[in-house]
Parts: sequence; structure tokens; C-alpha cells
Amino acid sequence: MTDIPDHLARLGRDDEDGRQRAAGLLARWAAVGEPAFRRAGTLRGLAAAGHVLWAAGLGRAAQAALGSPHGGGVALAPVLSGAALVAAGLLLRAALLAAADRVADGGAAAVRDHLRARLLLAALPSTGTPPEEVPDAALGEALESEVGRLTPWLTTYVPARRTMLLGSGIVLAAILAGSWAVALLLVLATPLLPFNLKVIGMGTRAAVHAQLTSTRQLSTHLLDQLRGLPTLIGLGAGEEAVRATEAADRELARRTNAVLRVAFLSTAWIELLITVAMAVVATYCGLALLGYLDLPVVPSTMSLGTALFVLVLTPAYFAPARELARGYHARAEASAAAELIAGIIERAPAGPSGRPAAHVPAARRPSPPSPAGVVLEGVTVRYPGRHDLALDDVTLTVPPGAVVAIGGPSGAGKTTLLSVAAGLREPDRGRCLHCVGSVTVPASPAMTAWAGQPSYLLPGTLRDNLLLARRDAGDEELTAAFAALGFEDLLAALPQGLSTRVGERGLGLSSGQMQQLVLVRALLRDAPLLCLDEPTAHLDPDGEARVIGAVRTLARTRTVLLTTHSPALLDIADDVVRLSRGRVSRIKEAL
Amino acid sequence: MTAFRLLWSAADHRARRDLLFAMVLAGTAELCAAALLGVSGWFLTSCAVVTAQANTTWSWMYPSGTVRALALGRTGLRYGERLVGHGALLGATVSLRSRLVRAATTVPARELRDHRDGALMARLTGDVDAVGAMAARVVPPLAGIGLTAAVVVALLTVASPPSGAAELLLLALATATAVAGERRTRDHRRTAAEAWTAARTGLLSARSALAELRCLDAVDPVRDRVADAVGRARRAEAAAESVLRRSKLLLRLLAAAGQTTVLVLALSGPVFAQPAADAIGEVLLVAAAYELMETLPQVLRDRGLAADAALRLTDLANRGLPDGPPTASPSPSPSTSTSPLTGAAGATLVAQHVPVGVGDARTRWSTVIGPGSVVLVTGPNGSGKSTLLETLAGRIRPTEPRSVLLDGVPVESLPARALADSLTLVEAEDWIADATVAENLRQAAPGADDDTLRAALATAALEQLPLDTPTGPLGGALSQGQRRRLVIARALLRAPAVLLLDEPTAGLDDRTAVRMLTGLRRALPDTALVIALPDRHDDLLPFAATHTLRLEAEPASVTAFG
Repeated sequence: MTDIPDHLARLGRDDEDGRQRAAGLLARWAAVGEPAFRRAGTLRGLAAAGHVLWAAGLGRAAQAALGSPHGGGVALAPVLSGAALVAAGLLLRAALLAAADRVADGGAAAVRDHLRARLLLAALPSTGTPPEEVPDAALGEALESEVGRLTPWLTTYVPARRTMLLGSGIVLAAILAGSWAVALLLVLATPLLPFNLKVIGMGTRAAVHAQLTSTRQLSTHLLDQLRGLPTLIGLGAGEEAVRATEAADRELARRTNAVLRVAFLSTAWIELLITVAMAVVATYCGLALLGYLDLPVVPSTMSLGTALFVLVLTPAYFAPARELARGYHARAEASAAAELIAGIIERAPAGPSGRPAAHVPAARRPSPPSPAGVVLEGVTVRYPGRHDLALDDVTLTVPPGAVVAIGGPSGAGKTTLLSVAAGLREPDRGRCLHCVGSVTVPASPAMTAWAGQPSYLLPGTLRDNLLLARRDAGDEELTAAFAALGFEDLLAALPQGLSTRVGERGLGLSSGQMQQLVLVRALLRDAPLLCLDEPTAHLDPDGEARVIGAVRTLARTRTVLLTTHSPALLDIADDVVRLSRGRVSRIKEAL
Repeated sequence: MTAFRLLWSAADHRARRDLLFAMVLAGTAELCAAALLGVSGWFLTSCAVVTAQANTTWSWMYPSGTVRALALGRTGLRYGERLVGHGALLGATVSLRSRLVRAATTVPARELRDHRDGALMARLTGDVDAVGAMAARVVPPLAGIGLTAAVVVALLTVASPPSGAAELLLLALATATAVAGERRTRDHRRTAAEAWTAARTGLLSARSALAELRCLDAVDPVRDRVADAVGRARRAEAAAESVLRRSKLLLRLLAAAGQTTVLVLALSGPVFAQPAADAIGEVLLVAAAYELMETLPQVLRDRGLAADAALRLTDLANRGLPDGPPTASPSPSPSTSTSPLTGAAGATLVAQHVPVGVGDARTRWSTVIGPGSVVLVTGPNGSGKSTLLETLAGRIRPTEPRSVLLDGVPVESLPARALADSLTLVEAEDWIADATVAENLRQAAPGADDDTLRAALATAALEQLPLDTPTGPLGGALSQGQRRRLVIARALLRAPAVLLLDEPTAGLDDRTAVRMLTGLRRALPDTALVIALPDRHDDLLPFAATHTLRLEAEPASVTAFG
């Protein structure tokens, strides 16, 4: 919201490697809309021509008015033509700027679309292991606000350099045509424009950096205190917390203010340059008009039209540079956002279109499905940032058509084993294979139907959710699937049948109903392997019996791999695998 | 409550003065900027006229001096305005935030819990900043625009009433255009916000169900659906941008009309033709005024954002602002380490038909938890232990009023502070400040000396941890077991009448867990304890439980889903 962090970031920018990296990222992303930004820069630069016309019109009208100084008798024609020039210049400028804004907005939208598409792809990858370390909240934040935060930078800063070269060039050429002396003056003043803070002096900079470090610490502290507010209130420390946050906030404000005092100097410096240049030009032109000027080389006379022309163009010469300087705020904000966005995008498992075709076997949808075998060989998985292994050298063979239950205490790695077997997670060492008939392929989710714990339905209708499994299914086919598992009463119990809206927060569906729906979806998906994570964990004995019946039905044409604590479910298993601390500790032949 | 009223009523004396001063500075600075252009033009034309008339009495010194003075004045005033404006911004933000933080401390615990998903943070950071930003980004610029426009119109009216009237009309039109544009963008912004919510929900649901979706080979269509929502948001945003562009274009067209009108009227108007110098000066003044008007859409947009933020802050603000700062804070926490048995010691917590377990297997549970008693709640993960503890602690509104009573008073009606004085809940992942161990402990006992703190650590079986150990962000520098024991030691220092512990043994080996629980009971013999332990750990309790509540594996589909 406020531009203070930008100021701070701007001051701290060049002593951080991260900024360099962010600059590289930003440049790469801006390249997506590059032609648009180039065009916007050109249009904005050309808008300076409108300014020149406007100035010329003013000069002409003034010259005409001078012709009859006593008023009243001004010849109408030159005044009107001057006024027409003024109007034409302003209209030209308005039109060009509007076109430039439009083009720039379009370019920025293209960049944002590109980044959002990549973010979505990183958040919901079709293949590979999804980035679990990125919290969901951060993803939502990045998709909406962080990408949006690039906009000011894209629309103002990126085209600004081009605008400056072209715009200032046009204005300078026009001034040169009016008075070379003034043009020379402006050219001489140009190196004084500070694009960074060098002018302010190296000494101040060190002090500013010291301030900045403590400012950052303070703002982290403030955020931490605010986050802990509920806990602190629970501890009866609410009053202390208020005082502590306020003290931290005040100290932060005090130090920020000290930094701003220096930061604003750079803007003030540019403005001083512009106003002083104007004052000097005005004085010079005035003296030349009065004929008081007597200098060796410099012309000592000037017409009113020319004088006015160069005077009003003087600020226009510096204006693009001022915009560019202002753009640094936008850049600082964009850099901060870039680091966050890149953190997510770069975690994406594969490139934007990387869907290895090798993972989709030819026998992808056998009909009727013949059960798949699963072979795990020395599978080891370690989650990033954890000491112990989630799975430690697990070797296991699941014959086609078997029902295998995985038991063990929570945290033993049951779900991890299941997701490796499903092909959802690549093991860090070892491998997992699926065998269908005589074909053996690397484990792939395309062969698997999966029901997680808890099971999820997406926002939408029941039909939408079921059609995900078989996109071309008609309503009869869906109803038949319910019947096949003996769940007709479930469908009848739903108020609007297949059109019942489900999804976010379940909306009235009990966990038993949800679990049954997920099994129907698994049936619709003709996959040779069915992986169920704690399918009866939520259910009462009746619900459990229904699910077990359905699993039996499904197991006729599929291999079933499930994790469970339930004795009833263990009973229907051909094999029970016990896991303990990532190792297979016991394999019991249940039959 | 409008954003400005919120800002003004929250600002302290100094921030208000700064704000007014910034308005004056901004007005003067913009006037100087306009005058610099106008006077320069007038000066040049006058020079030419004087030369043409061979008038020797006219002195160029004063006008040229004025030009220089205006040039320096404008720079200085702008710099001053920025500093003072940001000073006001910082001051107002600090006051507003501290008022709202104070208001947050009076919010009932259950409401605070509703805010826990970062909403309170967003209110106290983003929204407060948006309202505070008005002090630098909206109020002074509006003052600058208003003052400049008023002075320009006044000058014109004095010099030539028709020009004045024309400019007044055009400037009013320009303002109306900008305001109307802002209003229309607001609709688009709302549409965009709705689409964003849909996109966010879609994304998060899809993330939760990613394993299923990948097996269904349905990741792509679902992603497309999210992308659709993003596309809708993007189109609404593009529409808002287009409205903004159009109102900027209209403003520039009005500027063209305004300047041309003044030029023609001043130089060749049938009645009020003016001296050339005045005419040129006026045109340039008008040009400066319109250049300023061009910034209006931006300023109005910031105002709109601040207004939206202020709307979201209304609840908190109404709670915090009417009474002003609370009257001298009630005597600081009575239950410090020095007087463990004073305060609310001996309180009795009564549960009457409190729903336990969730989903289909929900039952009701009644008990009286008197001083010194121990209630053990066990059950597998997700069986509703934490929910029960939070209900007992008043963090969740009970389904029926008066179902949890603390000394006869329903917990939901107790102010947070009163509740905190007799009851402490240690959550499963309780917050730890990014400071030192000692500072974290002193949150519970502000005046305690180091020996008291060490004693509390020893009681929680954490004596090997030096007091000056840094804890890291959210306690990240400590191990899970150390974090557990630190927050328990912190709760011990409160010596509460009722202590609720959610999974106190997580991350601890059995021996340490037993030692910690033994120490806890010994240090607080009269405290009513409610301890939630997972199934595997329920034999760790080294003392007898007065009641045991065993929850079955029937987790809520609804909570698990959210």
C-alpha cells in the first residue's frame, strides 16, 4: 500500500545479490510482452511531439497578441491558428498517451497471464511430485496479489527508458530549433540528473544501510507480535502485547522517517534541477527579450514566440527522466514479488509443457481391466527437511488381482508407500513398477484409481465430480455405477440426485456418503490398480460394511492396495503388510 | 465509518497536526508549481511588451526574482510535504494500528480464533496500511488539486468572468468524470474480487485432491477451470483499467478544451480582451491546473482502496474507537509467579452437555472439573480432542449457550482478559515469539526474575535450555519437544486455576514426558488439569485421572475437509 517499503527496498537494492537475480527474472518475464512495451514506449515518446505543438501554438498566439499590445484589436486569424495548434497538440498528446496506456496494459496483461499460467501449472502439475513445501495460502497470494504487484513496473518502468530517449530527444530537437543556447544549457544540465543516489553521497549511504537493517528487523518483529496476538491474549498479556507492538511500530516509524528524509532528497534533487532550469531559462529569455543581454557568443535577442516556446518545453525535457526515477519504486516492489513468484515457479517438477509421454503406457485403458501387479524394489523416500527416512529400502511384490492391506502405527509411512505404489511419488532410491498382462512399465498414476484420506470432492455438482473419472459417461452410466456398488439409496437420498452441488466443505454430505461417492468414482475409472488410503477411517460400522462390500466388488477386476487400522477391512485382505518407521516389519499371509 | 473519519479519529494530536500541515504544504507547493509556469510566461510576455513599447519604468528584477523564489519554494515545499505527509502517514498508521490491536485484545476468544487464519493479520497490516496511506497519498494531493483549481478559477474570474465561468464548468466536469470513472471501476473491482475468491477456492480444493485428480488424469481440465476463474478476474480488471484509461483520456480532452477556451477568450474575446501578458500567464496557469487534474483518477483509486479497507476494519474499529484508549489498564496480571495461589485459583469448570466427537458419532458430555482434578481426553488424531479443549477454553462458541461454565459464568460471555486470568490453553502448535526463551516466558509473567523462569523451565523438564537461547521465527530454532516444553513452562508461570494441555507429550520421549507431567502436577497441585493425549500416549500420565474421556476415531468430515 504505502510506498515506504519501496523506498527502503530502493535504498537497499544494490547491496544484495538477490536483487540482481530478481532483475534477471524480471527482464526475462518482461520479454513476454516486450513488443507491446516497446510500442508503448515509442507512443509515449511521440506524445512529446504533441507537447511541442502545444508550445508552438502558445508561442504563436503570444506573438500575435504582441502585435497589438493595447488589447481589443488582436488579429483573430493568428490567435485562432495558435489556439488550433494548442488544441491539436493537446489532442495528439491525449490520443497517443491513451493508445500507449492501452498497449502497455495489454502487454502487462500478457505477462501476468503467462506467469499465472506457469503458477497454476506449478501448483497443479500433471506429472511429477507436486511442490508440497509451498503453503497453499502462499500460492493463492502469489496467483492474485504478487503477480498483480508487477503491473506498475511493467506499465511505467519498462517502457520508460525508451520514452525518455525518444521524448526528451524530440523536445531537445524542438528547443534546438528555437534557441541553441537553451538547448546547450539543458544538455549540460543532463548529467546532473541522478538516476541513483550517488549524488547524495557515499557517506550517507552507509548510515542508511545501517538504518535499513534495523528497520527490517523491527518490521519482522512487529509481524511476529501481531501473529502471536491470540496466544498473548490467552496468556493475559494482551496489554503488554499492545504496548510492545506499539513500541515496535513507533520505533519502526521513527527509523523509517529517518531513511525517508534521505530517500526523498533524490526526488527533490530532480525537481530542483527542473525548477532551477526553468528559472534560468526564463531569466535568460526575459533578458534577451528586453535586449539587456550582452554576451560574447550567445545570441542576445529572441522573439517572444520562441522564448515562450523554449520556456514551456524546458520541464517537458526533464519529465521523462522524472518518470524513470519514480519508476524505481515500482521496480523495487516488482523485485520483491519476483522472488516470491520465482520461488514457486522454479519448484515446478517439469517444464511448462513437460508431460513425458513415456509415462502413459499403451495399455492405458484396458477394457475390461485386467488387474495390475505392483513391484517395489528397494524403495527409499526422504521428505525434504526431515531427518529420518519415510520409507527405508522397501521391497514388496503385489500380485495382480490381490487385495493387500498396509498396517502400522501412524507416521510409519503407510500413505507414502501407497503413493509410491500409485506412481504419484517418485522414490528417491529404488523403483516401482506396474505389470499389466505381460507389459511392465514404471509406476504411473494413469494405471491407478486413488481415494485419499480424507477424500475430496471439488466444488461443483456431483455429476461434474463423477465425470472427471469418465468424461463421456451419460447419466445412465453414472447411475449404473452406483447400482453396481449397491449405493442406489445414496443417490436417492441426495436432494437433486446427480445435480446436487457438492464440494467446498462437503456441503451436507456425511463422511460416509463422501467415501461412497469416491468409490463410485473409482469404479467409473477403469484402472487396473485401486489405492485406498484409510477408506473406512471415518465410518460407522454400517458405513464400513457398505464400503467393504464395494471394495470386494471392485477387487474382482482390480488389484487393491489399501491402508487401514480396521480389523474388518484387514479380514478381506489377501496379504497384510506391516510398516514400522518406514520399514516392512512383517508380512502376514492372511489366508 | 469512512476511511478519513477512521484515520482522523485514530490519529493522535501530532499526526493530526502533521496531516493538516501536509495539506497546507501540498496546496502551497502545487500553487507554487502552477504559479512558476504562469509567472514565467507572464514575465516573458511582459518583457516583450515592454521592449515593444520602449517602457523604461518597468523593472524586470521583481518578476524574475519571483520566478526564482517560486522555483526554490516549489522544490522545498514539495520535499517538506512529502516528509510531513509521510510523517503523518507513519504516525496515523501507528496510532490506528495500536488502537486496533488494543481492540483485538477485547475481542472474545472465539472471535479471535475465527480471525486466526491470517484474517486478523491482514486487517492489522494491509488494511491499516491502506487507510494510513491516505495521509500521504490522498489527503495532501486532494488539497493540492482543490486549492490550485480554486485559486486558478478565482484569478480567472477576477481577470475575465467568462473565462472563469468556463473554467469552473470544465473543471467541475473533469472532477465529475474522474469520480464517475472511479465509481464504475469499483463495480469491476468487486467482480474481480469475486472471481478471485472462486479461483482461490478452486485452486485450494484442487490442491487438496491432487492425488485423486492425477490418477483420474483430470488435472488439466480442473486446472483449466481455475484458469477460467482467473480469466474472469482478469477481464474484470482489464475493464477497470479501460475505465481508468477512458477517464484519463476524457480529462485530457477537457484540458484541451479548457486551455483553448481561455486562450481564445483572453486574446480575442469580444468583451474582455486582456493584455497579452495576462492572457499567456492565465493559459499557463490553467495548463498547470489541468496537469494536476490528470492525477485525480489515481488519487481517487487510492481513496477507494482505503475506503474498502476501512469498511473491513469497521468491526474492530467500532470496538476500539468509541471508548478511546481503555481506562487505566486493570491491575497487571494478578497471577504472576510470585503469587501462584491468588487470583482465580480454585475455580471450577463445568461442562453441561458439551458435544464431543464430531460427525455422525457426536455425543454429549457433562462433567464438573473442580480444583485439583484431572481430566484425560484420549483418542486418535482428528477425533475431536482439540475441538473439545478449545470449546472448554471458550475459543469456540458452544452450540448451546451456557454449556461451559467457569465458576458459574458462561465462558462465552467472559471478556478475554477475565478468562485469561483463570484459564490457560496450551494449543498443539502454540505460537512462540521470535525472541529468546526468557522473553517468551516473560509474556506470561512480565515481572518474573531469572530464577523464577529457570524454575519454571526445570518443572517442565527443560532445565538444560539457557534463558538467553534464541527461539527463531515461530520457535523454529528449537526442537519440537523443546517447543512443547517451552509453551508449557510459559503456561506454568500463569499458575492458572484451569490448565488445558493439547498433546503436551508430542515430540517427547516417554521418560521426559513423564518427568514433565509429574513436575507440572507437583507445581500446580490445586489446578484443574484437562489433558488431551493421543491413544498411544495415554499410559504416560503419571498420576490418576479423575475422569477419562475416550473419543473414537470418528473425525469430522467437515473439519477434515476444510
